[in-house]
Amino acid sequence: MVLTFIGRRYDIALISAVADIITYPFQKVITLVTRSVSGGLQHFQDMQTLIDSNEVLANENAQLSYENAILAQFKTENEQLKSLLELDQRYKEYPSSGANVIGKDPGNWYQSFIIDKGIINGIAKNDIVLANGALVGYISEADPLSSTVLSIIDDRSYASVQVVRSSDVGILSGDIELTSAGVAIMEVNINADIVAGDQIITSYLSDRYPPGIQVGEVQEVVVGDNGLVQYAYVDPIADFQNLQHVLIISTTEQVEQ
Amino acid sequence: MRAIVIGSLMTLTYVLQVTIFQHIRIGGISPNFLVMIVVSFALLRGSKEGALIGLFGGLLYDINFSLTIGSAMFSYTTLGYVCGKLHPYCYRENFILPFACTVVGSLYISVMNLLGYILRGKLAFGFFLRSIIIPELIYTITLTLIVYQIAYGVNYRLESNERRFRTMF
Repeated sequence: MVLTFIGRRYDIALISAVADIITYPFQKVITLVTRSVSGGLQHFQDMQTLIDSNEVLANENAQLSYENAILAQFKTENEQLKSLLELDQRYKEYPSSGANVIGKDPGNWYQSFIIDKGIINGIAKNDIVLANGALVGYISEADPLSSTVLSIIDDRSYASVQVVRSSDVGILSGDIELTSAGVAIMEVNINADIVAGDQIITSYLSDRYPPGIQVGEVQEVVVGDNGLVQYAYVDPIADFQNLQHVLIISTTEQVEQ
Repeated sequence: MRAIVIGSLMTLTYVLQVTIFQHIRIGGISPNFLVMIVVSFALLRGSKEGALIGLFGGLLYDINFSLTIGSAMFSYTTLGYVCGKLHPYCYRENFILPFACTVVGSLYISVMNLLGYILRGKLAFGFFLRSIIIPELIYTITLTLIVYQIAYGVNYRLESNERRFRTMF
């Protein structure tokens, strides 16, 4: 009775909610323990490295703070110019929150994973997931406590992307043959201007991903068998093998407008 | 009692597979524990229970990872049902039947997964066979002997427990 009421109130599927509540604490605890144990061992190994790198970083810090001051000037200048152009509407700040990865797909066919934030924390379906400032995927399913993320290297994922240099638009999809290497494949027109080393960002055409999010770098370009398309192997910036912390950007507000 | 024990065993396996068993992947390939559990209990208990275990195991996977509910559920339910049909031929100390059933079961689940790829137009069968299906099969049948022993032990305890209750009343 209570469950049905809560389910109706927050639009939660009942069975999936129950399974979620049962498995969530275990996943969370096991992940925390594994991570803290390996973290503790790593601690001793890293001590000497830290002392060395600290010196280097102190020097670098001085230089960076100087550069930062210059950049701050550029920023204010940029903001003024942007407000003149009224571009800020497009690049407005989305509400964001961090989350930890607490589980991965047990099978060998797909590349989705589970994070420890759910509907209770304000996560909704189709929210965007980032890591290291680059695209990871989107929330394919939001449960009360946890949610499932479909990554861009998964075979079921498609995203509209563009080349930064030439603004040519293509479709980025996961490919099972490249998944183990953590690489995705991008299909573009045969006439598109794309070479190895090009930066890839999400395009203005996508209805799921906001435009201008970094995706990765082109490794290699090959011409398709039919001579109509070329395929670019895109190496994502996000490291899918050792994914631990992700950032979730809520875009539902944008859709409602 | 039986439902609670087998249910928690399955939840435990699922949680371990999702979290800590990610570290036992060899070359990115993990064994399929759900196949082992469904096959073991189906052979030990018959087709009705096998199908039920397959149903809930597949559902647990589906609601967390599948984009559409029911694909894994269907495959594991049919697997449990068919293996359960071999229950009368299963002598419990004989390992050949569970071994053979796991081979067929693992192949069957792989083929059902493959269907999803074929529907999306990915037809690199050589790659699938070489890099996913065969390594997963070998890894799964290596571990199935251990899992069958555990399932056999759990089942033996449960049955002796049930027998004690039956004589009490």
